[in-house]
Formats: sequence, structure tokens, C-alpha cells
Amino acid sequence: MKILRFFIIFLLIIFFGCDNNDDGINTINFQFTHSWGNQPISESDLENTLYTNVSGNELNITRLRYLISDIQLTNQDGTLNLGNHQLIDLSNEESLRFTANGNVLFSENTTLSFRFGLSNEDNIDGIYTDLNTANFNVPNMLGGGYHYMQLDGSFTDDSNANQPYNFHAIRAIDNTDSNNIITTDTSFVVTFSNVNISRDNITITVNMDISQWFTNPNTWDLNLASTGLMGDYDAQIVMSQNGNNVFSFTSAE
Amino acid sequence: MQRSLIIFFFSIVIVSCGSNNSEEYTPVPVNLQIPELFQQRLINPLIPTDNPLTEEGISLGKKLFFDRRLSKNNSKSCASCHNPNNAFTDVAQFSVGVDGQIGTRNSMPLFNLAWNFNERFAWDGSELSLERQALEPITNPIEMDSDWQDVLDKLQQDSEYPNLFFQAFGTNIIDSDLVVKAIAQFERTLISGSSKFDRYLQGNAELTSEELNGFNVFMDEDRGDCFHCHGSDNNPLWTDNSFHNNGLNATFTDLGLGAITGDPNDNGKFKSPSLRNLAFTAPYMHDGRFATLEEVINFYSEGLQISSTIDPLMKKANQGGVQLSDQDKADLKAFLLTLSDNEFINNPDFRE
Ligand code: HEC
Ligand code: HEC
Repeated sequence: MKILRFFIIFLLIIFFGCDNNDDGINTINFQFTHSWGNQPISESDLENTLYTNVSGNELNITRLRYLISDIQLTNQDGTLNLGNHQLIDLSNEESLRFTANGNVLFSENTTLSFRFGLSNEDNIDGIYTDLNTANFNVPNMLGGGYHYMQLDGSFTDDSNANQPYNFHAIRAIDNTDSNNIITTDTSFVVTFSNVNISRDNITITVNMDISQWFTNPNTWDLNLASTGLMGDYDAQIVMSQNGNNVFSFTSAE
Repeated sequence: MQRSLIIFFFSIVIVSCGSNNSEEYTPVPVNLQIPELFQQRLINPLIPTDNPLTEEGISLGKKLFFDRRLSKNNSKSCASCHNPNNAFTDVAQFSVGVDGQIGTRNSMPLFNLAWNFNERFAWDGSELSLERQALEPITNPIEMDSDWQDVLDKLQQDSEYPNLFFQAFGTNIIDSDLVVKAIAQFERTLISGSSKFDRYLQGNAELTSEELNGFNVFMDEDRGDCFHCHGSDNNPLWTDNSFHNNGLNATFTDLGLGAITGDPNDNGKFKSPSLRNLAFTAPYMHDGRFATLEEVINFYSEGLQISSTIDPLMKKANQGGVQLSDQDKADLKAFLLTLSDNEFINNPDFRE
């Protein structure tokens, strides 16, 4: 009798144990896509396709590299951290897709969040060997740490001349007074709620609309500011504000 | 008569047994000696799984690298154009091949090659691994102008090589695959990481105020802005190993990467060279057009040429360049020279 009871308990343990295993280590795939408004952008558009921003600047894109970090999935049961940082490079197909593993709890009401750039806490000079090797550092005289983004290309200026632009986002720094250096964390968190994480090996697709860097809330005219932006405190604040709506959630399927 | 035949037979057996016994295939694995600074700042170097480093492989590769028999008329080795005294490049604008022919590219220094993670070698990225690269000079008419079968015959008939190949790879049948594997192993050991600036970063050397200002010119977005392509204190390779048009020409005679990819947007793009060891590697650029660092710095300061594919990071190109003051130019040069590594060019492991 006693043995039978033990046996039932034993079976129950196995049963629930197995059930728990369904929520074990799963794979989540991320795919980053890029667009100009509704027009998709891929590697083959680099240096080829012309775009026009809200200020009427006609521009092309030579290079787009940016960093996201602190990828998290949150639902009623808690928060799952999915890795540290990912350097996305439009010219490198492999970098646009990456995989994270974790003990994912499936839920229709998952909140996906990630940070554009690195938080102050994580933005420590020289400590990430992958980013050093990728030459993504910020000089010490500009506060050190890492770029959040390098968006480079050229545009036609008001006098019809071809001009380069280096739209580089970093932690804002004002070092005009060397005794009173001001820095502001201009990285920002992007959040999408009600994401349906329905199964293992799901692919979450997120889009960056590059045109949004030049608008909303601030209108950016490349004639007024196009290069030397890393050391420009105000420019960094404006970029960060505009960045808040460059990302959108496309799908989880 | 019969007796002497028997003795002859036995002596053959004995001799051949003897030579077989002296050959044992037990290559000793080698871990690269990675400088501390590289360990701290960079990801681990790339060693292909099908060509692990061994003592025997490296020393065989070194012997091959310095062996003139790899060329048609036994006149040139790899080292003829990749001389240890010059950080493994040569002093000519265009290297001279075995028959006196002259190419159109400046030879390249060889060091820290295992950290070139996209594995595109040569100025135009045409060579997709060190192993594959090493196949090319042997038959290239403007380099060693030889024929693989010829080279393999010479090596096979040599008194030492078959045994050395056996020790390194477990076979004394020499083929081109094993030759280039051995050479690539040797090349991966060519690590340069003890310049004055490396020692400065580790707190073991002081920079002069000129050198320090030069470093600041290099890092300053408003002055040199060199770090976006050429590394920094956090990237001691001093290159991004990537391809750019840095504004040398308004029109292209040498298409560079564009000739390899077939994409006109790549025309005029060449690999950013490392700025280590510039003291030994003149002349400069893919076509060796600049004999001195002053010329290079003047070029970046006021000599840039506009073209369709010029990199947007050459942001002052419309004004001719970054417009450095004479003091900043001199200091930039002084800083660049702190990246030169005398220990590297004097390392006995890397010499014949
Ligand atoms: C006649 C001179 C000459 C000889 C001999 C020669 N090379 Fe070179 N090497 C060059 C030149 C010139 C380049 C640049 C080629 C280009 O970009 O078109 C080069 C490039 C290279 C590179 C690319 C380095 C980089 O960072 O991308 C490697 C590796 C190399 N050589 C190894 C060798 C080896 C191994 C041998 C012998 C088997 C050899 N070379 C023989 C002239 C020579
Ligand atoms: C846009 C990227 C870029 C920037 C910015 C840049 N370079 Fe270069 N650099 C290159 C490329 C690419 C080459 C090779 C060009 C060629 O040979 O066609 C090169 C070549 C050189 C060479 C020649 C090295 C050799 O071994 O031949 C030196 C020296 C050099 N650069 C120094 C500098 C300095 C100093 C600065 C800042 C004032 C700078 N570079 C800025 C990309 C860049």
C-alpha cells in the first residue's frame, strides 16, 4: 500500500518534471531588417540607392553599423535576459540574424525590449574584445567606450555639391570645459508589448526605418550638421530623441 | 655469389629499417604566443581546424619561406619580397619578380595575419586565406614564375624535405597543399606586439609630449580622425582589416577590390594597412607612391582626390584633407613611429 503511494508520487514527479521540461532551454531567433519608410534596404542598396529625407537632402548610405544590447523578454512569470550585445552591420548578412537561448516561457503577452547602444553601466572603455576587434571604439577624449551607431554616406548639399556625412551616435559628451565635462547616456530602450512567443525556435523580426533618424521629433538637415558629430553634445541628444521611433516590431513567427 | 646477394638483401633491409625507425610522426602542438595586450583587447586569432600549429609544421614553413628553390630559377624566395628586416615587406615601390618583371603593387608587410578575421588578403582582398594565398606567388609570372610540379619535384628530391614533411604531416609525399599549410603556419607565428606604444599602454614606457600630441591628433575627430579605419589604443592591430577608398586618385587605373567583386562601388578600394612598423615598410600605399611618412601625412592633410567611391570618413576631402598644422603633422609622424616594433624585426625565430 505504502509502496503504491510512493509509486504514484514518483509517477507524478516524472509527469510534472516532464511538463516543466517543455519550458526548458529554447531558441529564439532575431532578424533585423532595414528600410527607408516602406522601402526595404539591403546590402545591395549600399552606395547605390538614393533616398530623400524630410529636409529634402538627397543621400546615399555607404555603411550602417550599430549596437543593440540588453535584449529581454518579459511576461507575467518574469524577465529573461538574452545576451549582452550584438553588432549589426548591414553589409554583413550574418550579423543581421542571431540566436539567443534561454528558458523561455511561452506567452502571447510577452514584452520584447532591447537597448540601442550601451547603457552607461555597460559602456566601459575597451572591455569588449569583439567590439575592439571590430574597431567600434570611441576615443578617450570623447569619453571612451563604444559607438552606438555609424551611419555614413554622402548627400547633395544646397549648392549641389556632393558632401559626406558621418551620422555617428555615441554617449553625448560636452568637453568644452575640461574642468567640467558633461556626459549624458543617450542610449535608449526600445519596447514592444503583446509579442506572441508561441513556440520554440520562433523568429522575431524587428525593422529599423533609417529615414526616422532624420525626423520626429526633430527635423535634421544635413546642410547644417553632417560630420564631426561625435563631439557635438546637442547633436547627440537630438539623434537619441529621433532614434526613439526608428525601430518597429514586424513579426514573431 | 649467392652469399653476397643475401648480404646485399639484408643490408637493404637494415638500411631501410634504420631510416624508417628514425622517422616518427609525433608533431608537437604549439599555442601562439599572444601578447598580453592582444589577449586583453582582441578576440582570439583564427587558426583553421584543418591546419593546427605544430613545431614541425612551423619550422618546415619557415624553411620553405626562405627557400629560393620555390622559384623558377632558384633566385627568389618569399623572403626576397617579404624581408624580416622590413617587417616582411621590401623597399622597392614594386617588387621585382624572378625574370626582372615588375608588378603594379607594393609588397605587403606580414604580421598579425591570424587576426585578419574576414581572411581577405592582398591589397584588393583577392586571396581568401593564408593557405590559398601561398599557392599564388609560386606560379605568378611577376613573382616566382614557377610550376608546382617543378617545385614539388625539387623538394621531393631534396635530402631533408621528405623527412621534414613526414614529421610535420605524417607523409613524405610532398604536395602543394602541404607546402602552403606549412608556410601558413609559419606566417601565423609572425606576431608584432612590442612597440614602444604597446609598452606605453602597459605602463612600461613613457611617450614624449610630441608623441602624445600625435596620438591625440590621430584620435581627434576634428584633427586627424585616423582611428575610424586604423585602430586605436583599444585595437592594437592598428587596422580594421577592411576596404576603403582613402582618396588617392580621382580616376582609377587599378580597380582594387572592385576588380575582385565586380561591383563598381568597390572600385578604388584597398585594404587599410596596419600602421605598425611603418619605420621599416616604406614606400607606402598599394602602389608604393609615397616614399616617406611626411608625404603620407601631407596627402591626408591637403592632397585628397575626390572620386565616386571615396569613403565618407574622408570627410574633409572637398577641402583637400584634414588640414593639419605643421606641429600636428610632425607630432603625428612621431606618434606613428612609436608603433614600430624593433623586437619583431630582430626576432631570431623569424630569421633564416
Ligand atoms: C616578387 C615579390 C614577391 C614574392 C616572391 C612573394 N610575394 Fe607575397 N606579396 C607581394 C606583393 C606585391 C603583395 C601584394 C599583392 C597584391 O595586393 O596584389 C604580396 C602579398 C602577400 C600576402 C598578403 C598579405 C596581407 O596582409 O594581405 C601574403 C600573405 C604573402 N604575400 C605571402 C607570400 C608568400 C608566402 C610568398 C612565397 C610563397 C610570397 N608572398 C612571395 C610580393 C611578393
Ligand atoms: C577611410 C579610412 C581611412 C582613414 C580615415 C585613414 N586611412 Fe590611412 N589608409 C586607408 C587605406 C584604405 C589605405 C591604403 C590605401 C591604398 O594603398 O590604396 C591607407 C594607407 C595608409 C598608410 C600607408 C601604410 C602602408 O603601409 O602603406 C598610412 C601611413 C596611413 N594610411 C595613415 C593614416 C593616417 C595618419 C590617417 C589620419 C590622418 C589615416 N591614415 C586615415 C584608410 C584610411
